[in-house]
Amino acid sequence: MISRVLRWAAVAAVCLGIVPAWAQTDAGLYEAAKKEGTVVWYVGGPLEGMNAIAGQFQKEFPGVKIETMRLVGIAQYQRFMDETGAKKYIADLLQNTDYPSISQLAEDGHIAAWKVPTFDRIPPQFRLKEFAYAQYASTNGIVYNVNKVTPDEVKLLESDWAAILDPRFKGRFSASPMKCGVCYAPVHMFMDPKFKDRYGAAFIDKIAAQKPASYSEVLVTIDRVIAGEQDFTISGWEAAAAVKLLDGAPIRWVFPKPTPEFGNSWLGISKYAPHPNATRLFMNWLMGDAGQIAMEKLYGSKGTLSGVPEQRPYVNDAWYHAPVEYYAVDWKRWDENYHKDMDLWAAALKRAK
Amino acid sequence: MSHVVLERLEKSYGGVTAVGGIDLSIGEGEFLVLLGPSGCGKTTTLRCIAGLEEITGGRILIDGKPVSTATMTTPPEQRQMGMVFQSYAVWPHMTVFENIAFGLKLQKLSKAEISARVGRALGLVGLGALAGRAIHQMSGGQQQRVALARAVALEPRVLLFDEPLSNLDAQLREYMRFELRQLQQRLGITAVYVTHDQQEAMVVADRVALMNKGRIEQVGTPKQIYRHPASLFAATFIGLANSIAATVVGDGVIALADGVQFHTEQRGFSIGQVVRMIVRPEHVRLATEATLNAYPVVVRDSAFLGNITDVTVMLGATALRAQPSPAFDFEPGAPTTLSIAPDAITLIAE
Amino acid sequence: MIRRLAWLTMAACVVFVAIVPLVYVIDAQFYRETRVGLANDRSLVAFVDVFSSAEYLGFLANALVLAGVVTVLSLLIGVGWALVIGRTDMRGKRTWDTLITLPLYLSPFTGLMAWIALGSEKTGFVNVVLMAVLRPFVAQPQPVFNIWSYAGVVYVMTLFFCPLVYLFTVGSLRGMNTALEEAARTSGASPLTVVLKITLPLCMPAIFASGLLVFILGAELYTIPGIIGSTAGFTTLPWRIFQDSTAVPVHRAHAAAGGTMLLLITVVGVWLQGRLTRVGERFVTVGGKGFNGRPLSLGAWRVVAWLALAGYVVAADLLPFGALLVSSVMKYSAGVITAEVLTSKHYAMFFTTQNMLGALWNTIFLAVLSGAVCVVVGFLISYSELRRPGWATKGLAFLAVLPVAVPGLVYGLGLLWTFLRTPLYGTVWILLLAYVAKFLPYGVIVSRTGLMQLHPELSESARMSGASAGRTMLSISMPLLKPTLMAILFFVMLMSIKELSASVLLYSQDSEVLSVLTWHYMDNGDYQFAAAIGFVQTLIMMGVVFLAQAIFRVRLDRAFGRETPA
Repeated sequence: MISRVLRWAAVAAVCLGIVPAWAQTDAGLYEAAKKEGTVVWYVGGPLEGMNAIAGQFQKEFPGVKIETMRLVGIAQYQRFMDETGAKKYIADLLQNTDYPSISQLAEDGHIAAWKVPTFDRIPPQFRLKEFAYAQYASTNGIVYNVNKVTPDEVKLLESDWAAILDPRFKGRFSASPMKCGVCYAPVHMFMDPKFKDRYGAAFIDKIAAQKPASYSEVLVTIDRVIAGEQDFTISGWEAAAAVKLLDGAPIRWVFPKPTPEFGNSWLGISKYAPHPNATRLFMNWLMGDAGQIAMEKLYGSKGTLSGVPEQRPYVNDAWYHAPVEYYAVDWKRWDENYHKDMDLWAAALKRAK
Repeated sequence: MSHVVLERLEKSYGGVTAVGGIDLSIGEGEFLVLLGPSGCGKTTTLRCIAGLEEITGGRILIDGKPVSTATMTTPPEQRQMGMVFQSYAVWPHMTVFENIAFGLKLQKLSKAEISARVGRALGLVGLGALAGRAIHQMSGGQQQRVALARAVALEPRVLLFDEPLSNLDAQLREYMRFELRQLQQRLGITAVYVTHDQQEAMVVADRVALMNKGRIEQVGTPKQIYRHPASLFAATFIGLANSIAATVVGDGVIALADGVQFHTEQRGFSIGQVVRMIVRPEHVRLATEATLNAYPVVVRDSAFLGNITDVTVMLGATALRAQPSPAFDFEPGAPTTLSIAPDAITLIAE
Repeated sequence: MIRRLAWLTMAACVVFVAIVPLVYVIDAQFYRETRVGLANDRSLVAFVDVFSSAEYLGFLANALVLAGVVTVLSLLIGVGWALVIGRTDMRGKRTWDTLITLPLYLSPFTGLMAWIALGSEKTGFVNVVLMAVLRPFVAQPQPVFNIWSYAGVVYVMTLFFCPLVYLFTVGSLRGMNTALEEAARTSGASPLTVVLKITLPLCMPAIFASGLLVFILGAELYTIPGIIGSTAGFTTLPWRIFQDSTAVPVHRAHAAAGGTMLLLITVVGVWLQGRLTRVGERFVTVGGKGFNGRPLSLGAWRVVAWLALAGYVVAADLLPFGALLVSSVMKYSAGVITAEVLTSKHYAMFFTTQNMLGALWNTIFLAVLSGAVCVVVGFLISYSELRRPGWATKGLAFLAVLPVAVPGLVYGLGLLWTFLRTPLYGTVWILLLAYVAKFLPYGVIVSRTGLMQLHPELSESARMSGASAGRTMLSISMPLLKPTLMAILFFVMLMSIKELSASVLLYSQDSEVLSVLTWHYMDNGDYQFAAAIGFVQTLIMMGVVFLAQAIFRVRLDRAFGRETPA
């Protein structure tokens, strides 16, 4: 239906000579895209959500099929590089949850520059020159079980990360030593030189002294909060908790000040994409209003495009307090210190036992 | 009927020689026994004839055609031989009928022909009514007959037996010996039979090839080997034998260490040569009136065995075993006399 | 001549599929690492670090100790069940047989999720129920069971590996010549003495082989010890390899060196098995005499055996499958089940998920094919090794076994590099090669134990009856080993269906398999959906295995001429 309207709109627009910017570019692209017929999308995010988003696109642009292939983080980088080295060009669009990987690919010239029409509406921290764009952002928070944490305690936790050092929380929360982006973001912030006195390694030691339980798989951390095995976890983030909340799980989350937020799903077009036009069409859509709305509706994470109406259902609930003070990650330091910081973090959690 | 010839047959396993270049000719319809202690190479020789082992030297010919050389081995299935194994090697997942019919089916014979030949083979071994039985329902003796029937049903050119009776109990073993021999005679198939049991060998064999340490010590009829052992090994392996060191002191005269002299009929030794005097216990006569080769002795031990008495006597410092029959009573310590007929003494050069 | 040529072709294929990837793996540890992979220049840093640092050697020691403990326990229980089912007059053997092997249908990760739901300290179903039961009697009942502990790891892993031991020993116990036992009984030995002194020693090749496999698998497993271990406070080498190869910055060379370390463990194990082979004659239990199946009478012990088996079935089947079923109809994890947490949506989702049908088809196709190939090729390799011993046949048998302990994560990459430039890349065939390479060792090791227990004269007598070597293998050796071969088929099919770590590296958008698809959901934290998938997967596995076994059994019977006697 929408597609038919679009097609007529395109035809009408050409006839009348008054064409909105998006249609001007996309109409030509769409024709070329249909000839290619397919986009092979190497997906790093959750498959179910991404498939739903791709499905929405296919509804709007019939004739262009999105084939998703889930390859996570570094595995995707390596697979893409292995294939490129062997001149097996399969991937069109990459979606990688690891920023350093995508920036490395861009730096080495494997990513095609493509300025999406909505370029100016994407905040600078969510784009990498014209090479890559974060499809959605991850926001770290404390995820708690509503039956285990009192409203007073929630208030306390909301105030500052340092609140977790309160004696009453000893032995009640969990954390994950897993090496992943969302797991690292809070640690990255704690280890920020500008927070040397506020947090730093000493803060991490104090967390360990609170005897948190640690689970190697970050999602198990949230699962154990849902089950009531742990009262709350400091290794949580909104999108993961939201999925469970929507299933009816007895959890909520707060954003302690400052709240780390970072682009967590970087889209970049392969320089060797076998279907370049279809891929650009899809990219435009993903980073445009329709794609961002579809993403928030179907997957529930926070979009990166500014000026898009809020779609996340829980945002209007009384308990929900949007982050007050954001903390933006420093990708250079992220890249340099990731391993070192996470080792420190993991060692501290291990000491906690 | 076929004849089998082994020419300088050699088999070694990575430097260890199992069979060290033996020559043997087995005539058509002959029942030849390879006899020897364990590890003498007899089973290896048989397996080489079967084609189950590749040979490392020499040749094996069947009806004049080479089947094994150092570089060529006709696979066992093309040799038209039947073999009965020590472990019976009947196939537990098949019935008696299927076991016997297996090889016949491979020859693509008609159903009727197979049926007839299986029936005939079972009849030969006396298991006519048991074709449909499962193997595990049969006793050891019956399984052995199945194995035999299976080998015979193929109407092979040569029948090979690898200690086929060693897993049976003593009584059955004795009975089966005769039966095997009879069957072979009836069918007229050339047979090669491996055993370490000299009694078994003597019952079934036309000829015995006595093996030791990978070589053939002596070939001959059981009687020839028993009567005229060519070596000390042959003498002691087949039957009991007294073996006493002696020196040739004259033409047909030898002397033991303490000077006691015996006359023999064997010639061809030089004076002063060191020899072994071989005498079978039944040829050592006690309490005789004879005067040639006769000496007074003292009984050391005596055991009554029913048909014979097993007596050890001392001739000076030399112990001699005698087995007089019918059995007499001998008191240990009692004096008596001993005599040995000159033709009962075999001399073997040291 | 043709036979030799065929053998050479097979050997070349096996070496290419199994060994070339290993060479890549071994080679990979000698490169300098970058944060995203390997640089082009050589370096010994990773090799030295892994093979000499206290840290990595400690991880290795942890893995070996854990595997050792699990192996001993699995052997005790698995061989115990094999004895009861294979050797005694226990009733209902068919049912017990199914129940004992049921845990094989669970993938380690799904099983672990079930045990997390069951055995978590505060909210595990077992603890919740036990505490409710204890409350009237004990003032403050403490949790009885904690899966997040070393004992928890040992417990879950043991339950996983018992069925494997059982599967690979029960066949040789069943086929054993009872005359050997009866001889001992008539010499005045008690039934227990007979079992300890006669039955078990005769079964040594099978017991040793299954122990070896459990040890290697236990030393290679990363999921259960990894996820629980990081909470309980210990790290094993495979978990470290997993982290080294999946978390940024990756330590690919370290992972490769770790994989090589596990490879060396296999070499030692296989060498030990080879020592046993050399004295193989001692273990012939299926002689040419035919066996009769008169079982040992359990007498009053039957009740004890029944209770023990029932206890095992509760622990190994009822609890995890029950937990899985319960989890699969829950909206989210909860220790107490109320009406409001229940849902059937996960089962509906299973059928609406994209690519599910394609993945299902690929999975079945791969399982059947890899099962058949591993049985046939594994048997051929062992057969030629034992019946025609020489450096070539022994070498092939040795090489074919090596991939067994190399973690799929590392080995999968080797396979990827091997086949990247071939047309096989990106197709379902590369997965087949991966499964064959990874599971052929089971075919080789297990069929070797079977063959060792078969008297060589059984095949020699067929040769003397005019059957060619090939015919003999088909008509005599394979049918006699049917229980063993069926066990291999069954096991390899299940392993193929469950295989994840190499599949995830090698699959492509056109060749998805069930395990990878389900992992995508599990990786997303939807453990309830994962439980539903795990449950459906179990049912599918049972269906596939049942069908394939039925077909294979019929084929085997027909091909090997089991006509009824005239």
